[in-house]
Amino acid sequence: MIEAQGEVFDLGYKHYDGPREGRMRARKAIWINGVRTALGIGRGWGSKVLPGLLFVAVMLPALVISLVASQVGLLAQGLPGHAGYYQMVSTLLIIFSAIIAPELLCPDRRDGVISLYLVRPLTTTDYLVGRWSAFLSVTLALVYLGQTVLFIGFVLAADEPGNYILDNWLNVPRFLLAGLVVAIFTTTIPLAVSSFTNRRAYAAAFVIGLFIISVPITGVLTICENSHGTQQGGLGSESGQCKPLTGKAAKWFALLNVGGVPIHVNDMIFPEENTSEFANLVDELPDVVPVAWYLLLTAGPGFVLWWRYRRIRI
Amino acid sequence: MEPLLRLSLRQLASRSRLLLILLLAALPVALTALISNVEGKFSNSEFINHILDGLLIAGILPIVTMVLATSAFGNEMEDRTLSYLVLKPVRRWLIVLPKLLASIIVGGLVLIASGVIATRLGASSIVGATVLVLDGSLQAALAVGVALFAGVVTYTAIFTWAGLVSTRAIAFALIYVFLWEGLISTFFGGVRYLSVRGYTLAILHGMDDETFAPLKDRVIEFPAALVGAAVITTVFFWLTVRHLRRMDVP
Amino acid sequence: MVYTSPMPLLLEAKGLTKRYGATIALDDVNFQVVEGITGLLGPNGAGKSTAIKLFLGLLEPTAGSAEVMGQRPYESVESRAHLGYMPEHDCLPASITAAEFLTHMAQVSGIPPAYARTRAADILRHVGLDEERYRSIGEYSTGMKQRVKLAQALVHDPDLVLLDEPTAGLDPGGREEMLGLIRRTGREFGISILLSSHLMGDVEGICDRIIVLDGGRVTEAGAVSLFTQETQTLCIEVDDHLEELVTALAKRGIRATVEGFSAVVERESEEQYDAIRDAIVEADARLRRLAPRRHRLTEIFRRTST
Repeated sequence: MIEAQGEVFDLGYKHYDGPREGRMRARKAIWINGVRTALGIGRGWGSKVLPGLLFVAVMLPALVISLVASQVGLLAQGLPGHAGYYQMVSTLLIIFSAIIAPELLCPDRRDGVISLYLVRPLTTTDYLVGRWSAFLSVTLALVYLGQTVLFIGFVLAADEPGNYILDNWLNVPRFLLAGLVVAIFTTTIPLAVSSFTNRRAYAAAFVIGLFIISVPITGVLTICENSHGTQQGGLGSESGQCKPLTGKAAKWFALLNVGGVPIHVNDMIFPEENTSEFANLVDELPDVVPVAWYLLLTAGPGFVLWWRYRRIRI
Repeated sequence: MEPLLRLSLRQLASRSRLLLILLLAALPVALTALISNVEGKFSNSEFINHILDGLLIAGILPIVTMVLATSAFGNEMEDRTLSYLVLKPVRRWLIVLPKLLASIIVGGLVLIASGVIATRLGASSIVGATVLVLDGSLQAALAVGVALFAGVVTYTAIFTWAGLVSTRAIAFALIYVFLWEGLISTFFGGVRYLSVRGYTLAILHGMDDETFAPLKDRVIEFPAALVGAAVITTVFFWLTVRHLRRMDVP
Repeated sequence: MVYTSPMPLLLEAKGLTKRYGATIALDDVNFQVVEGITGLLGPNGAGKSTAIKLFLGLLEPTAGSAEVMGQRPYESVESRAHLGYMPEHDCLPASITAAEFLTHMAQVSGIPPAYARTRAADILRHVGLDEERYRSIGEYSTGMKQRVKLAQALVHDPDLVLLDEPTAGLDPGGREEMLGLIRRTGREFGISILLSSHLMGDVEGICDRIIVLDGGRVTEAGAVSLFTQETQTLCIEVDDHLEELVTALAKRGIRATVEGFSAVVERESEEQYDAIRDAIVEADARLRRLAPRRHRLTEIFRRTST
């Protein structure tokens, strides 16, 4: 056959007769796509800058502490360890989650891709679980990496590394569990907020606003107790005495600090005393209260997320 | 210029956004009223640290200006209406100026009202070393108003530029505000010379160093803050105009 | 009105009803779709999109059932693996390449990654996006985006694709290309198609069968040939003296109605042609065209929408 103009030879359509793995494969695909989206893989450089920057920022404290520990020794006063790591990176983690998590839900709705997903062998719940677990995985990788760097740093800094491991191996399961607690929290809330707006930016601003603004609000409502302790940047207090509202109820108001909620659970997992803001107040409450509060603040947004997608109109 | 300003104002004043902004601005007033009425006392440093700095200047001020200013051009880009503006036979800085003014008017009015009312409420119940009489609280309220105005103007200039150059302006703005000004500045004092929050606090302290004495240790020099705010505003205004002049309008 | 056929059933609506509050989108609709290309014709708001979404399982019927190969997709998730859907609205992410997007969509349909990649490349070639597949979809033209939309509906080699207004928003050239692609999909790829449109021209040329929806009800259904059969009407088009012609026809006992430049008469017998010839001569009209009129879909559509 002679083609006058060198046309591309059409191979003809071939039917697909390979394996079809149905719903399980669909779930995996949603998960993998979620992880890739979060990290900006398969996208332009613009999408990689933010996660990269935030990843480095969360890793940095672990590296710095390891280096300091290797110089001044493990027992240096005030050097944070595994117990204090999540508290230290919590602000960074919030910024990371608030900015990246909406990437996994908002564009799908804004671009209309969601309607292509839901006609495939995939339910709304499959989709949400896939997205949620994708961002959870990314967050877990992030915080575990930091803790691992810290652990390796401490082992190397120890005079007798072998003994250090024997004495401190329990920290590993502790930080694994605490990391899960923190990651579930910082995954669920931003995703729930993302289900209310198609604009990623507004979701991010709302989440960060919620976490940042709750700090001074809690500060005001717990003034009395805090004035003895670690008042942020203050010169000490002029009023030492307790007040009717903030005196008795301060320990309850301390729960209002959203960012601190998983940290209180973290503090229960580690034996070390936490001297951070509001932790001393929450300690006055029975353990079950902060745990119940944590569960409410993860299950609640989780339910809201599911409920929002139940009623989605395509 | 005037019709453009009116148009920009109308674009900013979407109902849900206004409601959210008003809600945020009501927070400092509500909290101050609550504490000063229930407790009957509110120490100077407590009020300044928690309400003025923590809540208003470090939290609500950047969030409100960010949402307003990044959408000034951001929404025009998203709706592809920027070309209508740019094709007008108007100098580019005359397009940027009304956009800035609109954000400053909306954000400024709400935030200054919030700050001044909270200060008057807080001052009336302040006890301790610096008891404020009405005169003093007026001066303090004036200081709060001026400092917040400077903050709104400077943030607006930065965020308007960010909204024009990037589709992810709010993400970068959030990182700047809460990482650079919030977190890093607590470790490195020098950052305050390059931080709008630093300027705002310094102007507050500079205008009434008696009332705002608790800020003494963490503010930069008053003149430095004024110059810094002015320079940053001018530079970003110029950058915005320049970018608008050079960009390919979609 | 139920159209039945000996061919295996792909889609079946049985008493299918969908209400949104007080509005009735589909009202007790019955029809069947068999292999081949079927057109779902109707004006905007006739219930075409609703019917398609019900068959895909995106909506739950208020009453009745929408079955796909004997299963109900709203309940049976796995059955959707053999369906493809091209929505009317935008549905493409802007920031990734067509190749990456199609590979992902194939996987969401259950195809393992290694196979998904070759399927994506194959199908992009078939819709004519070979060269551009490594560019971000955001940079594509409307016509190219429409091809990606079709490609994602075909990437998992479904048995049946449902296309919702596939030519919407395309210029005449793009529309012809899209219709050509759809025809190839149905004829060469052997994939059955249900396509909705409010343009008769779309369905007339490429469909085997047509279902006309209007106001949430099926008003007509059947093979395209049924719709385009010759009718018992003769159309006499003349350049001038139309009125004289009508009078001359009336003298010979033939009642004619005037439509534009034509006199239209009911055909009764072969002898009529002689009478018509004589009438034309008598009226001294210059004959342009004399032909039996075909029932065009245009008219069915006009009938249903008024």
